[in-house]
Amino acid sequence: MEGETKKHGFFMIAEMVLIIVGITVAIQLDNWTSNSGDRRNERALLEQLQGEFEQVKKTIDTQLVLLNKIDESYLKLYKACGVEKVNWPEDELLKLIARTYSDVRLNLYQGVLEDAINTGKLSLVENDKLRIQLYSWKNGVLKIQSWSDGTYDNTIVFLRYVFTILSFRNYDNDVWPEIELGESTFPNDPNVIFNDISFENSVGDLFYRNKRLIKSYDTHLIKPLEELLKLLEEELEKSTPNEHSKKD
Amino acid sequence: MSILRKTRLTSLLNGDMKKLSLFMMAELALITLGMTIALQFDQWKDLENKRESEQILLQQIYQEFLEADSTINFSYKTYTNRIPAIEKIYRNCGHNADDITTKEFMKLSWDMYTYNKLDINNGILIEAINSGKLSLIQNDLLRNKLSSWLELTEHVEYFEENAKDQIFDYYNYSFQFTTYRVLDASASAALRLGHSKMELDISVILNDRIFENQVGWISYNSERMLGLYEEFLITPCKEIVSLIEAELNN
Repeated sequence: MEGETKKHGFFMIAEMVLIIVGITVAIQLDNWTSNSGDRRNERALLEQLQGEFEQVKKTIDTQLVLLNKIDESYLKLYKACGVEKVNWPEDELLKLIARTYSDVRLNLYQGVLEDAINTGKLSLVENDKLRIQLYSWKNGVLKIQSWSDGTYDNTIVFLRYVFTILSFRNYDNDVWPEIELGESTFPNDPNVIFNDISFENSVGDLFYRNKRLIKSYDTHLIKPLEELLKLLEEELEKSTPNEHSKKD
Repeated sequence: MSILRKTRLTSLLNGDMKKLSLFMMAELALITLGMTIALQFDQWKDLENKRESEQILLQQIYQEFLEADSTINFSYKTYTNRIPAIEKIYRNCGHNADDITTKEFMKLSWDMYTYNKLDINNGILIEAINSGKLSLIQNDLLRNKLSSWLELTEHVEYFEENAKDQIFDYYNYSFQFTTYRVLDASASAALRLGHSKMELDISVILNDRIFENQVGWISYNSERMLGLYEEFLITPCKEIVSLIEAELNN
C-alpha cells in the first residue's frame, strides 16, 4: 500500500513535470518561429533602408553640385565688387544673381525610415550602433535644413535689395521667350551694382553662409551617411552566411 | 489524454518502465501539439482582427486623401488662374504696350494678389502614425508613401509661405501708387465709400523698376509653385489613392 502511494506521488510529479516541459517546448517553438520571422523582417527592412539611403546619397550629391555652383557665382560676384571698371556682359551678371535664388532647402523623403520609427519596426534592427545612428540621422538633416532656411531668408533680403538697382526682365525674357515679355526699359549698369557697398556686403555674407552650409553637409550628412551605408552593408552581409558560403 | 494517463499509471504500478516512457513521450508530444495549435489559433484570430482594423483604417485614409486631392486641385487652380494677370502686368511694365486702363490695372493687380494657404486635413493619418496604427497596413510601398506624405506637404507649405510673403511685399509696395478704394467702393457698394480723391497714374507704377522686378518674381514663383504642386502633391496623392483602391479591392 505504501509502495503504491509512493508510485502515485511519483506519477503526479512526473505528470506535472511533463506538462511544464510540454508547455515550455511549445512556447520555445513559438518563440523560435517568431524570432526567425523577426530576422526575416529585419533583413527586409535593412534592404529597404539601404535602397533608401542610396537614394538619399544621390539627392545630397545633386544638392551639393547646386551649392557649389552657387558658391562659384558668389565668388565671381564678390571678386568683381569694388573693381574700378567691370566689363561684364549684362546677361552674365543676371544669370549669376538669379542662380543664387535656387532651392537650397534639402528635402529628403524617407518613407521607409519614418515608417520604421513610427511603427516601432526599427527595434527589429539588432545592431545597437546602427539602430542609434538611424534614430539620430534626422537630427543632422534638421540642422542642415535650419541652416539652409537661414541662407534662403538672407537670399530674399539680398534680392529685395538688388531689385532696387537691377532689372531682371531681360533675364526672364531669355528664359521664357513664350511669354513675349520684351526688353526692359530700365538700364542695368554693372559698374553701379559692383560699386555698391550694401551689395558687396550682402554678397560677402551669402558667400560665407553658403560655404558654411557646404561644410555642414560634410559634418552632418556625408560622414554619418557613409557610416550608415557601411553598417547596413555589414549587417546585410552578416545575415546571409548561406548565400556567401554557396558563392565561395 | 485520460486513456494515456490510465495506461501510464497501470504501467507504473506494474513496473513496466518501457511502456511508461513511451506513453510519457506520447503525452509530452500531445501537450506540445495542443499548446502550439492553441497559440497558432490565437495568432490567426489576432491576425484576422488586424486585417479587419486595416480595412477600416484604409477606408478612413482613403476618404481623407480624396478630400486632400480635391483641396490640392482647388489650390492648383487658384495659382493657375492668376498667371494671365501676372503675365499681362509684367509684359506691360515699362511701356504699357496694351494700353491697360486704370480700372483694368486695378482688376489685374487684385487678381495677382491672390495667395493660397494649403489646408489639407490629415487628422486620420497623423493619428495613425502617432498611435502606431499605421503598422496595420501590410503593403510596404503604401505605408512608406503615407509616412513621407506629411513631409511632402510640409515642403510645399514652406515654399507657399515664402511666396506669400513676396506677394505681400508686392501688395504693400503697390500702396505707394495705387488706390484700392476704387475696388472697395465697387465691391462693397452698401458702404457708400465713394471714389478716392487720389488719382492713379498707372504709368508711374508701370515705370517703376522695383515694381517690375516684384511682378517678375511673383511670376517666377507662380510657375515654380505649379511645378511643386505637381511633383510633391498631385502625383503622390494620386499614387496613394490608387494604392489604397487596389488594397481595398483585394
